[in-house]
Amino acid sequence: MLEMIHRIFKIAGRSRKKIIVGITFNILKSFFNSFMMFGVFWILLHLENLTPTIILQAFGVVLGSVIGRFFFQWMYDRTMSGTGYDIFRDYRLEIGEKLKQAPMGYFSDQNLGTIQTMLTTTIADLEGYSMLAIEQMTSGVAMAALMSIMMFFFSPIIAILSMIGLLLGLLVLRWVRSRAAQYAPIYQGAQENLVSKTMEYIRGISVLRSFSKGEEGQQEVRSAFQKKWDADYGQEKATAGVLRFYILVYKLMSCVLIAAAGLLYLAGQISLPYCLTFLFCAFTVYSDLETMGNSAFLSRKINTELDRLEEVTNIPQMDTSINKLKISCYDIALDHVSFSYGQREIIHNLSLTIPEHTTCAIVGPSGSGKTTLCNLIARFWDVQKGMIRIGGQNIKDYTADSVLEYISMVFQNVYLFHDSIENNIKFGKPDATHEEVIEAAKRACCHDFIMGLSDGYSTVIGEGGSTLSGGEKQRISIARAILKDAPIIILDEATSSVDPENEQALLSAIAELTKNKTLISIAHRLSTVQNADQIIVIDHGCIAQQGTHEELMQQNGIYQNYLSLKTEAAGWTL
Amino acid sequence: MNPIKKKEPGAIRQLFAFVSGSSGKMRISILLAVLGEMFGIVPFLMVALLANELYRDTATIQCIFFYSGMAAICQLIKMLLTWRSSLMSHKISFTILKNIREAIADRMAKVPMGVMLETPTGVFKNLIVDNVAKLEDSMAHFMPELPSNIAAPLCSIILIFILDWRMGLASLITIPLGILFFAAMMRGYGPRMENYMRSANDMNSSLVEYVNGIQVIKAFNRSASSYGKYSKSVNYFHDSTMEWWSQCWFWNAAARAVLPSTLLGTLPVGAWLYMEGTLSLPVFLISLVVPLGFVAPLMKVSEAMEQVSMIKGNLEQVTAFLKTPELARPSEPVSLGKRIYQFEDVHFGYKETEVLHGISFQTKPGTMTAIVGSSGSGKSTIAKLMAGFWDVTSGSVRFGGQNIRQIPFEQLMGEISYVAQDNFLFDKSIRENIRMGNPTATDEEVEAAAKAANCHDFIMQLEQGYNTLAGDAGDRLSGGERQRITIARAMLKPASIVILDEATAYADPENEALIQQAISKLVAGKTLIVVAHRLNTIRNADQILVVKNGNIAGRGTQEELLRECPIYQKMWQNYAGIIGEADIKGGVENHA
Repeated sequence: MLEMIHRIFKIAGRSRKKIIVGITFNILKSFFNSFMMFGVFWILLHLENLTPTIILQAFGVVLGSVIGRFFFQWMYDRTMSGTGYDIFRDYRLEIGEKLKQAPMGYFSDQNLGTIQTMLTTTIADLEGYSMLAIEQMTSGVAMAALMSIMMFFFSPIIAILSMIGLLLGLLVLRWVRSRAAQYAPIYQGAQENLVSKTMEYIRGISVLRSFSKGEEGQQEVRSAFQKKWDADYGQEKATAGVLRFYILVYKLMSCVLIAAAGLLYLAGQISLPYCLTFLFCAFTVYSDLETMGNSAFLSRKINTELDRLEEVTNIPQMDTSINKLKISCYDIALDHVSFSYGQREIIHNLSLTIPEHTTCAIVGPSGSGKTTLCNLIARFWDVQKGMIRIGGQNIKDYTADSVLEYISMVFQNVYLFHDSIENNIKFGKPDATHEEVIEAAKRACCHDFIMGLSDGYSTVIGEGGSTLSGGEKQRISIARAILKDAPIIILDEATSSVDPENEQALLSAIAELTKNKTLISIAHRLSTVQNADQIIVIDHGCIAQQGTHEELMQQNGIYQNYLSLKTEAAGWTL
Repeated sequence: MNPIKKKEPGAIRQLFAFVSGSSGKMRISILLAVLGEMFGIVPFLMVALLANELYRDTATIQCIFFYSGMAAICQLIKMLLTWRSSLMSHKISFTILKNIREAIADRMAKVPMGVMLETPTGVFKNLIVDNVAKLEDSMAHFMPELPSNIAAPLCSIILIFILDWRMGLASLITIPLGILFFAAMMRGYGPRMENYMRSANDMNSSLVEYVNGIQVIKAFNRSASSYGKYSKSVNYFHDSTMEWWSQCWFWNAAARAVLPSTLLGTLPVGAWLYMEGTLSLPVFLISLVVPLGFVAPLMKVSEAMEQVSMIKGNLEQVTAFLKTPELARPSEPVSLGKRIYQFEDVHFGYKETEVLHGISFQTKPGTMTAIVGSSGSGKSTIAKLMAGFWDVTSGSVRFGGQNIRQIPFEQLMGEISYVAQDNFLFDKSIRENIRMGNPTATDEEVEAAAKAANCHDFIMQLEQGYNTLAGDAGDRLSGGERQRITIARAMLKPASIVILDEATAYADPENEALIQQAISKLVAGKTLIVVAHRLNTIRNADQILVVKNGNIAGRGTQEELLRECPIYQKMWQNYAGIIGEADIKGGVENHA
């Protein structure tokens, strides 16, 4: 319990003070809440000679405590309810900032997926629950402790007994929490299994339906549903029992208090009104603590979500200098470059020079390090050994942003923003005029199809570009790069070919983009390699062959092999 | 119980319909809860009686132990009963969830395959995982406790009214006040909630865009402005939510302070009546203590009511899918003649727009029919109609002399191997993935298929060979390698027809050769239907259908089409332009 409050405290940043103030308000609220018992006490004290004045006084005590309770509840809400939202707004912003500074290479699909879930689902949950959990926990303990203290003035024995009850219950609560914690991994596992088996079932449904009979194909997904049931019910069975036991502890302690009050009266230790008041208090002293049992589960949920949060927040930050790269010559030189990702070295001691205004085609089997090489040149990652120079300058000495100003990248997976086509193209150069946008679109062969859309350049593209065909998206991304007009182009040639008409348009768009530029391309098309000034064949992170098409065709090696395979990509016969 | 008595059964009723006999069990659970809560009231009575004896000075040590002991025993019984009740209702809730998931999965296996193909996988994932999980949040935490939460206050209110109706009324006095405060809090709830949802959605979509587009954002040096947009939406969500909340705090605090403070009514009224001598001490004490506990569960009940509307919303999406009509097919196998396809004046449209406008053609056994055309021409739709993924709007598709609608889906699937561009592998061993094509195949047959599909070599290079989990190896297998495993799977299947629906569209050119080698072995001796856009792959076809705008614009062999069909000529020129002369020559030589 304290651990959770402590953890929330840790991420609360500048809202810490507010949490302390909020908890104080909450304790004051509990104070007024327990103060109500004096109203009852006042009546019981004068049971023999009740007068309207006494009743009014007692009513006044109750009313006063309700007003106090209201006031501090209100104060609490004002401080805390906002605080939860403050904390997680700051958190969202902080992660956004960190993403800005993270090396590009960090953004694998998996990482992006986790960050996204975290920013949307996880934080929203925490925003809603964390303050509630703090409220429930503090008011539960505060109420029991305050009432015990008040009772102390009437009978120390009863007060001590009720304190013992409080501690006993908290001990049991620890047990409840550890039971719940034991079940957490099982539950988590069943949940993950459910998601992965469901995804597999959905993605594989066409295969399942064409290869298996009847319900056979549903076996695995059904067993995942069953496992989920087992985990849900198992958790319920294991934890609901102890949670009820926790509540029972308080209920039984109430009975002990009742017996003690009666016995003390019989022994002449306390007078009747006191005794009756204790009987009344026996039922109320633990009432808030009972609801606290529920927050034991809430706090478990919060703890696991905080874990997830911490995992993601460790976004690596690039060690960027504040110098901006300024160059007028665009030669690229790699000097004994090595790079590893995690434990695995991907690029081994690689050297390469690409003079400006020349084209360099990179070929090689998938996984050989082609993409990594391009990412290093664009400073998506920093090399671990050796150095990369553009225009004679070591790119590590300059900000990643300023390096990217000289480079346009065309990715295989095109990402377009949920915005107008014009703004998507303008992304390459924010201050471009409408005419410049149209000019770029024309050069990228998109103008015609854009004009064919109902709203022309103002047409809003769906999330991720979903309303356009693959070829059209690619050409818009090229228009964007044309508008940016960077001297160096890194092109990840699409392996998937669109249909022939589209492909023609795509090729001429690329030709426009790369005119008079230094071009590095991960090549899949024969025409690209044939026309390249130099071809680099990468294999297992090293340059296996290097030269022009004619030179390489003369050598026995990967390149020749690769070309013969390509030409073999002929028709099949019956 | 018949769950569909009314036209529009309520959400809860719909839920119970997912588990047969569940409403009976739910009744038992409610009964247990009521019983338990009745025992829960006994301690109050015990204390009141004890107080009475103490007051009259008739109490002895024994009687103190008796009353407090009885109270303790009743607490114990209450706990046991409500625990059982809650376990039972949890069991029902979880079973309902499981059955809903199963119903969705089952329906997925029965709706027209086309529905599955055209719906993004995310939609189904949301249905099975997220929607049901939201149901779970509502059901697992609110429904099962509902019996107890209703029974407890109900029992205590009834008890007090029985003992003294005036005290009963006095104990309820805070409720109208509380409702008043809540009503004040809810003023303008609709538009405010809408605004809240909108700003939350805006924030989430700008969040998603910022994260997913971060590579582009950085590549174009736009992090500052994109971050600006992101932070603006985050701040807006925060500020607009706070604005709403801040108007609620006052009333929320008032309601939360007043509602449970039943002493406001019971203490003065009870004291007054006691003073006048019309109320006995035990009843006075009982009516002070008992109502203290009944507001908390009532508040939970009102929360549960909110959950019902949540359940409704989520359930609607589920039932909408469950109502998707099944593919209407007979269950008894029919006898099939020669395994050929006959399309007769086939019209077909997805929803309103017609995609195919009267297509007629026929295949011959043991030959290759190719379907070509630009994207959107309808060529792939023809293949999907052949595989029975959709039903035609008019005209007929006949297979083996039978209208395809008369052939059970499983029987049809037994006849054809359909390979699409999707290269999905299951998270089991590569061996089991291939064996799916024919569950009775031996290991040798699996490996033979893998060899024929050009996968044996790379599989053997994996540490665990054929036992490697395809899921684990997923990132180590290239797209082409995965595709070849799916081809091995298709080869193992003893089918008479092979349909390749743009099977190699997304393969690397490097892999395409290997894939095509594999395919040419797969189709030996079978009837082959190929949907393709790389024309070199189909030039040996016995029959090429050129599809344009949903019509057949030309048919014949490659030579005939190059002579007579202008559309095909143009396609060929385009294609030749891209591939480069050398490649085509190479291909032709290879062919020769």
